[in-house]
Parts: sequence; C-alpha cells; structure tokens
Amino acid sequence: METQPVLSLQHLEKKYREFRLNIESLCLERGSILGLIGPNGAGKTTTVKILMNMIRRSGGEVRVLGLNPRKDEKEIKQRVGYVGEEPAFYGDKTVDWTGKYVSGFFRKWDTNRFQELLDRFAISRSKKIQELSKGMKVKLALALALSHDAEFYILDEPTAGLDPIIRREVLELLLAESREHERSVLISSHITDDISRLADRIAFLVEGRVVLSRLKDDINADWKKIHYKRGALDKDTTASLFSRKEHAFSLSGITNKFQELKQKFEKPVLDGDVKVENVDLDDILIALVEGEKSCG
Amino acid sequence: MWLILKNTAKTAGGVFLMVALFVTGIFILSGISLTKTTIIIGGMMIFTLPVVTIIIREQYEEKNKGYDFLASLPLTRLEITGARFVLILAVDVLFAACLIGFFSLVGGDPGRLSLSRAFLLCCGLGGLIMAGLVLLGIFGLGYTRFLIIFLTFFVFLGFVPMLLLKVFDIGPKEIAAFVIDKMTGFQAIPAAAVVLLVYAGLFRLTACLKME
Amino acid sequence: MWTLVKKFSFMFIFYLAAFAVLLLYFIHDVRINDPNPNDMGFVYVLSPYVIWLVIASIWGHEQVENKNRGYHLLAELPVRNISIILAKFFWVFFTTVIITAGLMGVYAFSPLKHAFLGYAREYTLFFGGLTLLFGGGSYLLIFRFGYSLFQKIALVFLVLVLAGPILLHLSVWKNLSSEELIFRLTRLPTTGIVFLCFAVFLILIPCALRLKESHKELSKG
Repeated sequence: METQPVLSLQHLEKKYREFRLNIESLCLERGSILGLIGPNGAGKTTTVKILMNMIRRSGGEVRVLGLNPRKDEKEIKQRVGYVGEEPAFYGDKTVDWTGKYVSGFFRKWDTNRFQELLDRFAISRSKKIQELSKGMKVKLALALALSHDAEFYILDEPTAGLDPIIRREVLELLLAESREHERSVLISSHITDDISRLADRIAFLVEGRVVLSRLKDDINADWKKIHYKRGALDKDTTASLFSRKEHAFSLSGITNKFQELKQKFEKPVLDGDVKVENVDLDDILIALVEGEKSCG
Repeated sequence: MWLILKNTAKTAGGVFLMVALFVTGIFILSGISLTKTTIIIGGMMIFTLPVVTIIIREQYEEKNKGYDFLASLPLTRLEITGARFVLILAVDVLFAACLIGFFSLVGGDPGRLSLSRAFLLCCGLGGLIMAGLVLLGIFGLGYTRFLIIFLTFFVFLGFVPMLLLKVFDIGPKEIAAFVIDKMTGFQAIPAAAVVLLVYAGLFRLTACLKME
Repeated sequence: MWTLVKKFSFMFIFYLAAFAVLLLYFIHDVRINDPNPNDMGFVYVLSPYVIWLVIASIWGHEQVENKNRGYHLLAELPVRNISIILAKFFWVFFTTVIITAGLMGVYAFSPLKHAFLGYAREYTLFFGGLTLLFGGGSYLLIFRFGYSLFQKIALVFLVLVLAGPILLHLSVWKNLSSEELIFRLTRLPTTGIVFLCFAVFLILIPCALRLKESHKELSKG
C-alpha cells in the first residue's frame, strides 16, 4: 500500500510585483479531499496552476503524486483530472470533437464513461462549444477530467457557474469518486458551503499564506461562536475571541480554542450567561481575514 | 505533438492554398514563364507564408484561449511550441519545394532557372528565421503586445527601401545587381544548415520562455 | 462621446507618433540631405502609406479591445452604440486628416518646384479619400463579421500592400517614373473623388450602427 501523500508543498513561494504566495507546508493524503478556501486574490488559482506547472514557482518544494511538476509535467497531467477556473476550449468545435481530441492525449481514456457523463450532465454532443453556457462548459470540463481514470482531481472553483441542482450532483460525483475509488481531490473555492459538504481537510489561504489547515471535524470542534453577557467571561478569554461584536443585550465573538476552554464555559453556559453555537466556514474565513489585517 | 499538428494543419493548409492560388494567378498572367515578376512574387510569398500562417493560427488560439486548453492536457511546453515550429518548417519546405519544382517544370533559360532556385531558397530560409522570431515574440510577449510591435515594424518597413536609397545612395538596379551577385555564388547546403541551426535555437529559446 | 474618443485614443496616437518621427526625418532629408526640386519619388512612396497606417491603427486598437473584452464592458455601461461608432469613426477621420495634412506640410517645406507641389497635394488627397473609405469599410467588416475575419483580411491587405507595387512596377508600369505615375493619377478628377469618398464615409456611419445593433454577439468579440 502506497503511503506517499498525493500532494506535498514545502516552503512554496511565488513572487509577483504586488503579491507573494508563501505556503509553509500543505499535505494531502491518498483518498482525502482537501478544500482550499480563500477570498478573491488570496492565491488559490496561483497555487493550483503551480501544481499543474502552468506557472513556475519562485521557490520551495512541490510534489504531486510524488512527482515534480517541473520535471514530470506530462506524467502528472496524465494522472490528474484538472478543471480550471475558466475552462477553455476551441469555440468553433463541437463537444464530440473536443472529446475525441482530448481522448488522444490520455493513456486511460474511457469513452463510455465520457458519454455517460455527457448524458448525465445533459450536454448535447453535436453542440458547438461557443453555444454552451458557462455552466455547461464547466460540466464539460468535469466530464473530461473524470473520464481518464485520474488518481487525483485538481479543481479550481469548479462549482462557481453551476446551478444548485447540478452543483449538488457534481459534489456527489466527486464524493463517490473519492470514497469508492480512493481518489484524492483538491478543490479550491470561495463557496464555503461546497467545501463544507465535501472536504475532509480544509486549508484557509489568506493573502498568500495558509493561515489554518486542519481536518474539518477538528475545525468544527474547536471553532465556535460564543454569545455572552458582559462580565460573563474573563479578560483573557474575551481578548482571545475573533470578530467581537456588541449587540443590544449581549456580546459575541468566535473562539478557535473551544476544546481547550470548554471547562471555562461550562458554568456560564449552565447559568445562561453564555451560549455556544456552531460556526460556519464563512465566519471562520472572515475572522481569519480580519485577524490577518489586524496583524498588519 | 502529432495531434496538435493535425489540428493546426487545417489552418496551414488553408493559407497554403490561398497563397498557391495567388502565385498561380500571377504565373498565368505572366504567360506561364519565368519572369522577374513571377520569381520575385514567388520569393515574397515563400517569405510571408509562414508568418501569415502563424498570425492566423495564433489569433485563433488567442480568441479561444487555446494555450490554456492545451496546458490542461498531458503536454509539455516543449511539445506545444515544438508543434508550432515543426508545422511552420513543414509549410515552408513544402511550399518552397512545390515552387522550385514548378519553376523547373516551366523551364526556360538555365542561368535564370538556377538563379530563381537560389532566390526562392534564400527567401524560404529568410522566411523561416522570420517565422522563428515571430513565434518567439508571440510566446514571449503575448499575442496583443506582439501584434502592436509587428504592426509598428510594418509601418516602418515601407520606409526601409527609401532609407536605403537615401542613406547608402543605392537604387533598385544596384540592389538587383547585388542580389544577382549573391545568388550566383549561393551555397545552399551550408546556408540551410546555418538557418536550421538558428531556427532550432529560436525554438529552444521559445520553449524555455517564462510561463504565465 | 468625448470620453470614448479619449478612451479609444491610444493606438491611433501611438501610430501617429511613429509616423511623426518618420516625417521629421523626411523633412530633414528632403530639405538638407538631398534637396532635389525635380524628385517626386518620396511623394510617390509616402502618400499611399496613409491607408496602411490607418488600417494598422484600427487593427491594433481592435486587438486591444478584443483582448480586454472592450465591447463587453461598453455594452454594460450607459453608452449608446452611436457614441461608440462616432468615436471610432472620429479617430479614422482624425488620423487620416492629420497624416494627410502632415504630408502636405512636408511637401510644402520640401524644395519641390511649385508646379510639382499641386500634383503632390492632389495625389496625397486622393489617398486620404481612399483611406476614409478603407477605414470606414474596416469597421463595417468588424461589426458585420467580427474581428477575426477583419484580421485575416487586413493580413491579406498587408501582403498586397507589400506585393502590389512591386507587381505593378514589374508588369504594368515597367518604364514609368514616379513623376509620370503621379501625373497620370492626378489627371483623374481627384477633388470629386475625395468628396465622394468623404460622402460615402459619412454614409458608412449609420450603416455601421445598423450592423452593430443587428450583430451584437459578433461585436462583443
């Protein structure tokens, strides 16, 4: 059994004039799904493109399926199913032509699977690409990515242009691929709902840095929203809260150490002075972005 | 790489056919004989065919974000650029061979025939270098920036003969005499070898250019 | 409309500036280096160049628009199609007028003898008129068939610009000097032709508007 991670980034660096991507460390185990969340311009697409060797990194170590994207670009692309942010195809060609053309490049192309996915996504084979909507193009890109028996899927904002029904279908398809065939998935998105539904591990990318990367369950256990009455929490605990807000009769904030502070909260919760809520990924992202800004 | 070549061959074929028709038209108008007009137009077309093919194809790629599409497939940059360079080489060689063959069929004065062969070959080799530079420009600067520079180049190009006439005080007759002199002693094989070497160098440079 | 005129200015100004550099060289050359009052060779070569210069400006401008999805952006802004077309046609007209006037200025400063100056002026105006036709026609082509086809045709035009004069010189005009060629051309009713070209140019504006409105998806690039 292979234990090597499908994705490993160490000290990855990419410098632009006004932006610097700097990922200390990021790993993804076989069969897992990693969600990369970040605001616009955080470096998600840059990271994904570096993995596909579409952009050259300035420094650091990158391994995809144990291979170096610079040296083994072709082999990586053979074994990876990729869907870019804005899928590009030749507009004057038909869906059928595109499928046939792409099939020529892959060793393990499965025509039946491709046809089945086209039917499932209701994409007409005879339609020209320029006649397809943005969502249809994304679906075609997904169908192509899922038809060559890839071991690892790299998807950059794949659900952005899709309607809720197809979005759910795509997510279920990816989940099934991961669970049934032990495929790994890296999905970048700012639609946190999708990541929350799909990912095992979540990495938050803010201003080019991974500010949080943990298992989804651990994040859910540690990150909580606290509503409290004035004076119900000690000064240190209050100071450690993110996104503090004052409401008419109470205050609120987000903690990232709920398990650690659990005991402190027990009594006030019983007294009704503190209320603990689950927090969604959007709130965590906002808290992290605010945290980054306040750190300068 | 062969699949990309196959895909781009249609564009090249279309341009090839158009240029071939144009040259044939000139030939028919000249009474199907080797005249100065047919030789010069033939040479000019061999020189411009690769560049025209590249510009039409690159405009198509730009419109469809073709390189983004190709980059998502299991292909290296070396293969993508290689396909372009091989296609242009094939187009240039094929067109030059067709034209030289046609000239030989038409026949005529042996001296003029050998001169025309040398001239066509020279234009073909020049066109190849020009095409290599154009590809380097497009891959290095991007199509839009390249096109603006290319058009500026052509805005100035029309004045080059005038500058030559004014600065070096040489007229069309002197230029023709110079060309004839150079063509008579033209060493085809060494010239082709040098040009192919430069072309390969341009290919390597283009393939190594920074991505993004 | 003037905001759009300003927005569309870059490429046209760029090529005008490039041409201005060449004109400065020629003013220097014909007055100081080689002051020959009988030589109209430079008039013969320079004047037709206005056509290519305007086509090149349109080509460069439309490429930038196409790349930046300029028509998409304009479609989302509160801008009327007529303003877009007027701004584009304004630049064709302005560039043509400036280049034609610049050329006539150069000829006026040149040591050409007085009798030749009139011919040079007429010859230049003739090509200025043709440029308006080609410029307006280019936009009709772009709005009807899209930028891609315009680009292909412009490329063929470029090849013809390079090959055409050589062809004509080698076959039809074998023994004619540039002066004789200019005299022959100016025997045509050039003033009438220029006015006709200008009238057609003005008619092309509503035609372009009609095409742009009926082929929106093409002009959006």
